Amino acid sequence: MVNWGKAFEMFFIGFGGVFVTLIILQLGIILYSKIINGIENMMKKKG
Amino acid sequence: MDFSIFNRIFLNTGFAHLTFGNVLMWLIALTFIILAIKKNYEPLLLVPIGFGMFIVNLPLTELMEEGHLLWVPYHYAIAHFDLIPPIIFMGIGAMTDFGPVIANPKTILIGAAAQFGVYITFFGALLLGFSLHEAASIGIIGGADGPTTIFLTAKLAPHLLGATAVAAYSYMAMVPIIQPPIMKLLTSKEERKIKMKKIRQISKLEKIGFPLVATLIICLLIPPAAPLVGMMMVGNLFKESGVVERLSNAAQNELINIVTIFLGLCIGATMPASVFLRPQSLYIFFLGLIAFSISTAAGLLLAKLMNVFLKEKINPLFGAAGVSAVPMAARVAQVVAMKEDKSNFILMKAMGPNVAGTIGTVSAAGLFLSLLS
Repeated sequence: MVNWGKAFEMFFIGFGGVFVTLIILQLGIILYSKIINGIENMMKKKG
Repeated sequence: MDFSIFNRIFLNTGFAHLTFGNVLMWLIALTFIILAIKKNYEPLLLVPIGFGMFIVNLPLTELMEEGHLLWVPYHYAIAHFDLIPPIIFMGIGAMTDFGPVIANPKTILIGAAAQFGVYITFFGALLLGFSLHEAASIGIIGGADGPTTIFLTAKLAPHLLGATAVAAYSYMAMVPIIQPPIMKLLTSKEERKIKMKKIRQISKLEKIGFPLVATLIICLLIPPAAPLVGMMMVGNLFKESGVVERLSNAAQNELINIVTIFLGLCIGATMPASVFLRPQSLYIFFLGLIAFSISTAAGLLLAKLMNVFLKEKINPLFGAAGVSAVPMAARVAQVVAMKEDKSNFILMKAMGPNVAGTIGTVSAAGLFLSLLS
C-alpha cells in the first residue's frame, strides 16, 4: 500500500524545498556579487 | 568411449547455460554500442555500459559475483559507498563555468522549475505500484543527470540501478530529439526570436568565491547533497583559483575518465537478463521519458511566466535548458533560437539555467534522501 500522506509530504517539502533552496542561493549570489563588486570598486578608487 | 567427460566439459561452458534472455540482452548491448559509435549518443557512457551489459550476460562469467572484478568497484564505489558519482561531479565542476549563473542569478529559478517533472513522475511511479524509494529513484531521471540518478538510486533502490542509469543517460543523449518539439509547441515564433542583453563580465574574484558561497548555502540547507555539491564546487575552485592547474586537469581528465570506465562497466553489469527483462524496466523507461518531457515543459513555462513580470524579456527557449544535461540542453536552445533568427546567440545565457538545473537536481536528490532516510 502506498503511503499517500508521505508521498504528498515529499512533493510539497521536496519540490518546495528545491525552490526555497535555489531562491536562497539566488539571493546569496546577488548579495555576494554586490559585496565583491563594492570591494573591487573601492580598491580601484584607492589606487 | 566414455562420452560423459564431453558432457561435463560442455556443462562447464557458457553455451550450456545460455538463455533467450541472455541473447536478447546481447542485442540490447549491441544497440547501445552502435548508437554510441554511429550516432555519438553519450559514447563515453554507452560504450562501457553496453560492454558491461554484454559481458554480464555471458553465463558463468561471475564478474558480478561477490569478490569478483566488477563487483568490487560496484560494491565499494557505487552501491555502498558513494564514491564514483561525487568524483564525476568534481570533474564536472572543474569543467563548468558558473559565470552565466553569477551574471544572471534569476535564471536559477528556471533550474528549480525544471525539477517539476521529477515530482510528477514520482507520483506516476507510485500509481504504477513502485514503492516510495523506487519512485524517487525513477522520478530523478527527469533531472537528466546521470551521476545524480546513480547516486540516489544506489542509496534508495539499488535493484533498479541499471534501468534508471541507462534511462537517464539515454534521455541525456536524446535531448536534441526530445526537446525541440516541446519547445516549439510551447513558444510562439515571436518568443523564440527574443534577443537578450549580453551578460556582464564576471571578475575573477567573484568566480573564485562562488564555489564557497554555493557550498555554504546548499550544504547548510540540504546536508545530504554535500557529497555531490561539495565535490562539484571543489572541482570548480581548482579551475577558478588558477593556482592548482594540475589538480584541475586531473579532475577534468584522468580522474573522471578512470571512474567513468568503472561506472559504465559496473552499471552495464547490473543488467543480467534475469534482472533487466521485466515489465518494471519498460515502466522505468516510459516514466523517465515523461519526467524529462515535463521538466522541459516546466522550465519553458516558468520562463514565459517570468516574462509577464520582467521589464527585460528573456527568451523562453532557455527555460528548456533548466534540465541539467550540461551543455547539451543549452546547445539545443541555441539551435532552436537560431532557426528563427540566425543572429540570436543565447548559448552563454542558456548555460545559466543549465547549470542551475544541475544544482536543482542535486538539491531534489538531497531532499529525497532527507525525507526517506
